[in-house]
Amino acid sequence: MKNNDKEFEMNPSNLFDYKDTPLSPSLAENVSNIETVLGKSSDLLLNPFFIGNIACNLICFEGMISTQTITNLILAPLTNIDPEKYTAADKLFSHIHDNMLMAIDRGMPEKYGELIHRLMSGFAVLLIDGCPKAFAFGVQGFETRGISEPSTEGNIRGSHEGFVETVRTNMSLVRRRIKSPLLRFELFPVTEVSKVDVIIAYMTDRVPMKLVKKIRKKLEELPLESILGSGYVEPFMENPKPALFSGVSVTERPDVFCAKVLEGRIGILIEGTPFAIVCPALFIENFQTLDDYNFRPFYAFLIRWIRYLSFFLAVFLPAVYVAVVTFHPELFNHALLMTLASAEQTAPLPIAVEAFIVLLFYEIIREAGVRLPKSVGGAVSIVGGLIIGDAAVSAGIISNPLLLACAISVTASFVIPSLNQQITVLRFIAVAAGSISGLYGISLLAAAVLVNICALENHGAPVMSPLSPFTPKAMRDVLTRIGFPRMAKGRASVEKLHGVDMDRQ
Amino acid sequence: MEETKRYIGWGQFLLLLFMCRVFTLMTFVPFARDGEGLSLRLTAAAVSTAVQAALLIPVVLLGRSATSVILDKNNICGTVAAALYLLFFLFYTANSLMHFQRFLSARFFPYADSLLWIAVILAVCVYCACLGTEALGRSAVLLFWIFIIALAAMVFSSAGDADSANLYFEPLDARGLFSAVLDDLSRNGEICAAAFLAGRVRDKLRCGVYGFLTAKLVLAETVMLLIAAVLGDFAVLSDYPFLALGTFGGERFIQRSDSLYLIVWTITAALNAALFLHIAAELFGEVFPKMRFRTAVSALLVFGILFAVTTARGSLEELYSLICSGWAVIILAGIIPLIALIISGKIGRRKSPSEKIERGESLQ
Repeated sequence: MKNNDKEFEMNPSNLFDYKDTPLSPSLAENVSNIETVLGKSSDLLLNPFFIGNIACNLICFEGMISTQTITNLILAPLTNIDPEKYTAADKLFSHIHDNMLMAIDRGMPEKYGELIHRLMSGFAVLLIDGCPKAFAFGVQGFETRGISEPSTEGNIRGSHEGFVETVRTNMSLVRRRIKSPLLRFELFPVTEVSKVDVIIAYMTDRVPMKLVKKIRKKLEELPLESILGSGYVEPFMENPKPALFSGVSVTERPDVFCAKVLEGRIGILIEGTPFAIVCPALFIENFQTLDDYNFRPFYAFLIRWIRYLSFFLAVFLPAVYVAVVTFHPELFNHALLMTLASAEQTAPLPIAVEAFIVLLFYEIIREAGVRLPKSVGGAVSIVGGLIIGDAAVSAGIISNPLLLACAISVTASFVIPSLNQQITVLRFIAVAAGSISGLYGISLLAAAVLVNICALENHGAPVMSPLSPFTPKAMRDVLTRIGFPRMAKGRASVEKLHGVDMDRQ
Repeated sequence: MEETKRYIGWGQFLLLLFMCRVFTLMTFVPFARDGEGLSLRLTAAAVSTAVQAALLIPVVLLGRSATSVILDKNNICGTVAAALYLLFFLFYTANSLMHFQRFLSARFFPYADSLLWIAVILAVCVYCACLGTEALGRSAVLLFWIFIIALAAMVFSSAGDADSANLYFEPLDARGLFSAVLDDLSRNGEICAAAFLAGRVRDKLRCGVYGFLTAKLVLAETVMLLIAAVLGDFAVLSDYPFLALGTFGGERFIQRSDSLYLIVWTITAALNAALFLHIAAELFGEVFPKMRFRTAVSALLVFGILFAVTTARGSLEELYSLICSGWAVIILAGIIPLIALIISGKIGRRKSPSEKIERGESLQ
């Protein structure tokens, strides 16, 4: 280990030498090496002290540990150790190991790599002079966001708890809902630089272990330096072929996460993001919410079909309007045709250009609303409403029927937020296709999208299941929402769907 | 894009071929020919289906090994067969697209550049074909349901106008029946695809084949009866009676519903052409194993055929008519598989367990 700090700082390759280097029995050498690796960072706290004649050092990162916890659980017991009884380092080590609990989460790192990973995970590390091992105590006390309602997945009658950025808290939210000994969590660090903790959750009786190992291997081999959001991991869990839709789902809700894990999927929790990943996912699940299972079946049936309709309205309504007005006016009856003709006649721009302008303005306002500080967020709706809703129509730049069609489309897209990206892109493409070749172009686009979705698979599960490959029994929860007495008769599982072979990649 | 071997269910196989037949029905119902009355058409469809059932017996007997036996790489006959199938599917794809383009020009877009619009649909078909048999099979399932909804809407909106007095069954003529059967066979090129797709069916190939033949016969007979009952003599005059049925039907809040049906027909046309393009690309791999971008090459050849036929005419048209004739279907769907079956020695001997597994049969 190099002692020349300046040379070490300038040579990053030295940072990777420590991982498998074992700890030294010498406390001074250990502390020196740790300081060298961590570059004497300002948040590194070194607390040397003695227990009798034995030199010790308690190391932690400032802001990562709970001062009260470390005082009560570690400092107090350590200072109460009788120094007369434990004069040798190995006896002291054994005493602490065998007779003093000190923390629920404990480890004994023997290499610098693990020791530093523990430090950075909020552990306090105790080094004893003469011992080539250390103690790591889980006394995390960093500030975390409290459990609150998920911001992206609203509901009426379901739980109002959402995942948070702390992966261990998320793990507890899941465990509280599935109190089964068959539920397993596997926690391990991933990525080369930031060593982010991820957890994979699964039911041992519902998921093939081969799949679990496959996903674990993919996570461990992620070629990323860091994971700052679930979106970093999603592409690696999906089918490598480019596809419009995703074979994995993302959720902020522990109840949704648990429901999917119980259906035989694998959930992935990632430290630093409240969005969990579940795979494999089906396309039809984008239209299902937890509220469906809290409402009466007849109402849930109606709402679900409204969502299906909303998807087509969101993607195709502006395009169909443009196509029909331009190429197929015979579709309208006379009264409607006259109304639309008089509205479009006054607009100076071609209808396709109008549609693009309206949709583009909507995207600008939506993006501004997301990025704008909350204190001035109200200005977005005022500006948006005035500019598009009133001024543009009054000025005759945009026609009312087109504005209505776009507004319905945009509102319909709010019904399925998980498909917002695809809907937005497809909407623009559909308008272009419709303006160039009418319903013919839109149909070709629909054909391409249809085959694209049907080709998509995730870990052996076709994304279009149970529609295609067709599974009659599973269609009960697609075409309708069957009642719980009937649903309870058979356990829903992804593996039971036709065409699913989770051993296949 | 290289596709690893994937299997489809017999239901997907059935619906894939069925939707190809639906496309043909949409754009090919030949009521416009002189002397071909309702009884001739109905009988020809039934006889043609019986002939197809007989032609496909060798394919059913070969089971999942049909493709590998017919296109045996170790045998020069296999390579020749692959080349014949390839030629057929390229011309058949071109034929399908040409008829679809004529249908579009005649009824929806009279001033559109025909070759440009074919190029557009070909581009989409290339993309769909590259995604593989499984994707096409699954798409066929969904498209089937969309078609059923459209057909139901068409039937319900026009059934009220059906008049049994329009159903006149004229006496049959043997010669006329024979040519009508051949004519019908020429529009059933998808049964040649059965010989190729048989190798991709996971199990119950027999159910898939005969289910398909039954379903398409029922569809054809029902649609022809409905067209005759609703449209009467107008069906004889109309180039596209099925379209006319759709136009005649919808009148309420939609002035004419044929434009809506255009959506279903276009998607069906794309799926139909994509399937044959995909098969052609696979056959290119049999004949020219080292060739890359086979699907794109197939599409370019199809476009070239269309361009040549629409501009050059003459002897190329004769070749075109020969390749897309009923005799070609008989040879490719029935005779070649029969020869392959005989050569492979699979007739008259007990099936080994592995052969039973190949065909999805029980080992009991």
